[in-house]
Amino acid sequence: MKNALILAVTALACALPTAGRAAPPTMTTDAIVELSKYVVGYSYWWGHGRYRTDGKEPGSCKGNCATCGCPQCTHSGAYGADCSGFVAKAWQIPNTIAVTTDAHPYGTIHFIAAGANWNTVAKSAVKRGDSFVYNINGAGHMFIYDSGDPAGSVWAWECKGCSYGCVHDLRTISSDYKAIRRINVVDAPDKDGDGEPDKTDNCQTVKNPGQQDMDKDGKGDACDDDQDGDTVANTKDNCETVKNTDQKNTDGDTMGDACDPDNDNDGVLDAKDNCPVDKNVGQTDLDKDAKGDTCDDDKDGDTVLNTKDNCPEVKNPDQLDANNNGIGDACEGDADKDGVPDKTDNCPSVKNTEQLDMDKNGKGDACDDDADGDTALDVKDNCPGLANAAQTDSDKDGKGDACDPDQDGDGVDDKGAAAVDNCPAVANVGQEDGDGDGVGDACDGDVDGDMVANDPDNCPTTPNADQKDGDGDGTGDACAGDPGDPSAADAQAAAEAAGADAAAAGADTAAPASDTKVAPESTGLGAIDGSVAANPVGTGSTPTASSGCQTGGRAPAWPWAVVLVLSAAVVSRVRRARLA
Amino acid sequence: MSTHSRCLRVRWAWLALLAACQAPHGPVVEQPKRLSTLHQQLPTAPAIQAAQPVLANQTRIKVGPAAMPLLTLPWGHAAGHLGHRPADESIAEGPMALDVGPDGRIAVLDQVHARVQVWRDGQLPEVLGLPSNAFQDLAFGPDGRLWAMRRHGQPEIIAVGAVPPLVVALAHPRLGEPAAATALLVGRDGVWIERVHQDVLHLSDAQAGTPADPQALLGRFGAGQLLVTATLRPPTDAWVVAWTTDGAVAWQAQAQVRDATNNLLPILALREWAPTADGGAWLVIETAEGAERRHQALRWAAGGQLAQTVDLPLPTGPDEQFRPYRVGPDDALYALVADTDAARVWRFAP
Repeated sequence: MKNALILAVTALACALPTAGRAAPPTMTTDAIVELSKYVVGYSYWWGHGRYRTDGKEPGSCKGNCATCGCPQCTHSGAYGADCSGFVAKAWQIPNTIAVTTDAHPYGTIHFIAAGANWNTVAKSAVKRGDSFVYNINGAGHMFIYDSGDPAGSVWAWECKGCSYGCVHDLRTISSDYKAIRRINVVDAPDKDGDGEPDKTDNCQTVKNPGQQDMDKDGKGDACDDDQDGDTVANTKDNCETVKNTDQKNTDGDTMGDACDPDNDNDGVLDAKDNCPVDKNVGQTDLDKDAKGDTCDDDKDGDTVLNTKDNCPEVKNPDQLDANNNGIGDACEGDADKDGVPDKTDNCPSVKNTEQLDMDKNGKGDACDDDADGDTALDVKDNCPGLANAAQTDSDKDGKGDACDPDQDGDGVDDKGAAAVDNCPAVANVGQEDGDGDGVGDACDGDVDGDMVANDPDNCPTTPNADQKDGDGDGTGDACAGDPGDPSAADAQAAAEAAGADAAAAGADTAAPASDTKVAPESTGLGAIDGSVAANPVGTGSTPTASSGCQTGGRAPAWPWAVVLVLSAAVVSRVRRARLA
Repeated sequence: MSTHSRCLRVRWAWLALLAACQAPHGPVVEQPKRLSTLHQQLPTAPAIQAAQPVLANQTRIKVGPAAMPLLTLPWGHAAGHLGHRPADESIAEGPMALDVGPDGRIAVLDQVHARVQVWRDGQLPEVLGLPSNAFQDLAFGPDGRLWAMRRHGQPEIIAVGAVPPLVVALAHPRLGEPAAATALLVGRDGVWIERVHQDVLHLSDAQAGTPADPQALLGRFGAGQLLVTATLRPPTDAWVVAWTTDGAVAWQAQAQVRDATNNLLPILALREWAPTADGGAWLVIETAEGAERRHQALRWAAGGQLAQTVDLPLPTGPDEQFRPYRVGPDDALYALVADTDAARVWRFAP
């Protein structure tokens, strides 16, 4: 009953018109700030607002529940505040009250709504001493704004929570917060209107909201006649914003070295200049140590300073000087200036730092008129970079076979990924290959593939393994148009029979051929290659198979060559039989 | 006797009715604050594992489907759960920050429990204790060591679980107040902090010793060779600038977001920015379309070409996390999003 009566009286009192209540006393923003500063270091104390101005007895707060906030926390000590208790104290609302006196007149639920002692202001218009507050579904927080961009980070005084206590913090403000301002606040005097009260303004009559003070002398840059504090007045300082008492100015331009992006005026900015204070447009750097030669006291990087180096531009850490003439052996008599002394230079009069010598004849390639040492002077050598004493040039295209990718000049490269010349040493643009054995007819010792070499074959272009020659005239029966021989039809039949026999014979020989691991490259063309290899260019002898082809299909007189060609023909037949 | 003096005589009733006093349009019913004497019987906090040094070369976190969070971490005490204290006249306390290690481990600063939990592929997290629950940021070093920073109380940066302890004072001649440290960064040459979102200051070498060259660089560094700053130009623009270590501008880009009808949306705040290893950068912004708040990420490729925009999941309630977004060593954006029942870690691949 008593409680009900008290409630009714309280409700009546609260229902009185706002105008009937005393407004809070006028305060300056400075006063709000001063009261705010004192709270830093005090503990968070939920439901309270009390702290001291001397920082003593800060108290402590301990959270007791990891999934619930205060008031499920334990506060120890006599002083501390929660967020709203602190703001009410700093704002001195609803009435003037000592900060040491415990009071908690409002919560965030009140501050978020319109109130008699505060007004809502736009975030963009917020001023020092204002507050930011949010309250959503009974949960809320607030703090006193100090400085900064509300859209970015702001400095704030706040009783943040049990874990942190009351702090001066740089923090962000989510969009849930709104800005409020205490009524009856007057700004401190601010003559220049830059937002910084005169009391703390480092340029009271010059607008400088940022308060920059480069030399930290207490006088803001905007009104400091020596803003970098180097004792040279701004008007005479060749670097107004960089301290350079000596005013050093190497290139004599209008900017001192301390602030000149190109101190030596050589057109290369200091950041990339390998000699920032020595003019060196060329940026030469002999020893590649990132220090230009112009300013490098050891140009050649041999650890001997230029002033003592007997070869300042040639690396000679040993400083050998056989004749004691003061000029190091390494650079003495180096006529071509290639860093290699003439004594050891394989081209003393031609600059050749690399000293390349292909034929190892002691004369560098740069000055050797026969660099590959094949006795053909480079000016006439058809392969100047490759020794080919014979200078063979099958296709007469001026490029020696040794270095010619198409030595017969028929337009089909000897080697390659796509087309490969089936007669690399005999020009055969059409690449005809009647028996399909991979060896072009132009160089095939058995053009018709009947296992009888062209020369003894009585029908070289018509397969007739039996070599029948009814009339004994030297021309096989299979050859059409031979009078006295059977009809062409019979010859064809005979040829087919011979072909079948040959295929059967090939099949029989296939196994041994495989057993001997004859690689495909060893067939036909491979045999010719082998002959070439056995008769290398430069020995003066002519490749066997090549000569056979070049003489219109006539086989060479040497028996071993015939054997080779026949072997190739046999293997070719085997291949065909396999394909069939 | 004034109106308020009368109110103060009955605290309980006064709290209930004061809202009505202040409300301009009818009474606002406020729940009375609970008194500290009403403490609940609280469960015992879980034991925290002995601190162990964090080692590198662990297995990588598996990356889930794009539409699924990598980790869902309910509010609670156990390993794998995170502490969360709803706001009641204070900030909401909860997981403050995350980072992704060079080996793919994900660390979350479980501030309420004064611990860091580190997840690796499909395993229960490694739990590492912190000396206080006021730590706000953490960062992996290139060597896999984990560092944590507290800005208030006893400002310091510690190597988490290091034996012997490695402690760096959060102090620098150019820093001013420790609270001016807005990010913790760890490079090959040791510990750095970001000052007021502008420049980074070298505090110590990798062994917490004084650095040989305590330099300051403009921007925030990451895995690549560039540093990045981000600047808000209200109401609709932000600028991202990539810097070289020489202080030269490598590239710069303007950030704007538009609605479906191509109207520019306001950018309310910048949440996170960092360079990527490939010379690009991520920026996370808070924007709003009408009354609807949005978090959006934008990624620029090397050279400053806009390469990607991502609508991020929204945290519920005011966001009081310190660094909930982080660019990982894989150039993906990781987000630690607090919800009503859990915090979730998301990965957004570049």
